[in-house]
Amino acid sequence: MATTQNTYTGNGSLTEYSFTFPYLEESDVRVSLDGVDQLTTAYSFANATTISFNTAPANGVAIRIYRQTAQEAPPATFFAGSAIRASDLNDNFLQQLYVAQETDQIARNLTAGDIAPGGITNALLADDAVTTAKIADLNVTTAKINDSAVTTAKINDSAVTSAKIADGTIVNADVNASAAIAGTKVSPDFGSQNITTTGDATIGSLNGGQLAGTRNRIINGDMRIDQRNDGAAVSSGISTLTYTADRWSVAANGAAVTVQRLGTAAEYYLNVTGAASVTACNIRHRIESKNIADLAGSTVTLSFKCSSSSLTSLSTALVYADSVDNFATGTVISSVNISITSTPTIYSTSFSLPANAANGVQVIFSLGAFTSGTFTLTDVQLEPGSIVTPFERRSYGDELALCQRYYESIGATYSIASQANVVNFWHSFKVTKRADPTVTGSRTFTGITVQGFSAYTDSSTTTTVDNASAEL
Amino acid sequence: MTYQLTEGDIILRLTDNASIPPAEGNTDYQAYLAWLDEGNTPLPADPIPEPEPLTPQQKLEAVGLTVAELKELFGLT
Repeated sequence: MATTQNTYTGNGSLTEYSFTFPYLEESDVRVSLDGVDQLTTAYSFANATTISFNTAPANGVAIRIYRQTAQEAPPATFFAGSAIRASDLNDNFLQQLYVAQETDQIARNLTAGDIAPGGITNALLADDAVTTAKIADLNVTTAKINDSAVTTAKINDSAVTSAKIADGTIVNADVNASAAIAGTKVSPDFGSQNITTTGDATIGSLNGGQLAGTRNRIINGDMRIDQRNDGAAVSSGISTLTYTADRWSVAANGAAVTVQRLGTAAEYYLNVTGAASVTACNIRHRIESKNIADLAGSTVTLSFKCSSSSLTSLSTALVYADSVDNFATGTVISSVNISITSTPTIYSTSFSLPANAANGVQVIFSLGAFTSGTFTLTDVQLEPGSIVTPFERRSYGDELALCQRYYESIGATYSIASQANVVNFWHSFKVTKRADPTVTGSRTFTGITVQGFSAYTDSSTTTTVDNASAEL
Repeated sequence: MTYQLTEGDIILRLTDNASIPPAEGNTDYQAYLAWLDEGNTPLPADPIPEPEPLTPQQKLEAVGLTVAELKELFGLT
């Protein structure tokens, strides 16, 4: 291939560059720097084969000295009858030769600038001819990729981010059967969704408390046990605590209210009937220190089912005893007003127990000036945590025994026939009492302990024992 | 509310004839102490009644003897 150009790279100091191709006229010799043709004023011919730049091309600049033979007209024109000179013939043939050589050079060095826009068709590209290097970065658009054309192997490991996955598109089948999704990946709050499993549930706690059994710190919350009155109505008295269903007492001011345990074995409830002149009416339940101290400093939730034919609201409060198991004076932890209706409904509210709650806690339902109508209360529960769970129904025997720790209806009669001597006897309680109890009966009893008491009887005196009370 | 002392340590609550032990954890005893703090005074304990003397017949029955056995014992038959 004939030489039609020489190329160099400028160094910032050299001004003269030689070339090796022949030419017809100096005007056929062209010079470009970095692809830009230079004016002839920017350089000159130092000699017939050397170009001298006015200013040395900068370091790294691409210098191209090439030939572009004029082809608008032949160098010589012949006329009829004129002489034909050899030099003219040679010039004309050299022009044709040089133009052919330069066209060949152009074809070989074809650049994008030499091709007219839209000039290269798909058919002109060989199969597999376009390499990655021929595609400018960021130039391939989605429309250039055929549907389903991108295979898994074309996606780099760890390349798909969460933002590239449309919401709601991952289905159960997309999760591997042995994926073992860590608990930390599951939101801790399932909201109202039920959780169903036919396998074991291995959990550390339930609502921050124990898993089962005696979550409810209220004893006889469903009013089943009524040792004192067995369902009979009693008057509350005025300004005094009157025990009704076991563990529950009522105090009224202004006038007495009537309290009665009503219902059936399916559901009992405490029924309070208001009266004219009643200025205040409180229903109370006291929890001894041993049954509440572990919850001091934590959140508890009180739930209860109530209704009223006349009241539209009540106040619930928790009060801790100022000294252990002594509710003579107490401090209000918190009180909450709750709107109620005539339909038995479960209500709830949570409390934060302070450290002093370890002294014992009293739950109070304040009905205010309860001058008429009725109020019903049952299924009272105080449990750890802030979640309300269904009322914990214990067996009748368990509930009775829990009540008898505080009050035991005895109803025993002791007498000895045909004996002149006085006989001492010992009576054991069914359940060990919270404290040495007060014993009521037909005589003064002695030796009272949490286990029982002693007394005497003889043939002339019958000794009856009514009850033992270790209420708070 | 009225209380009465007894010969022992039991406090008698007269309104319902309740025997109240002197136990700090007993709410009724706490109420009694509060009642005392208010300046009240319980009734004194009832004196222990002297037992009535036994009749000779009761004394015999107490030792399991009949009059006939006693006469026989002393050779009075």
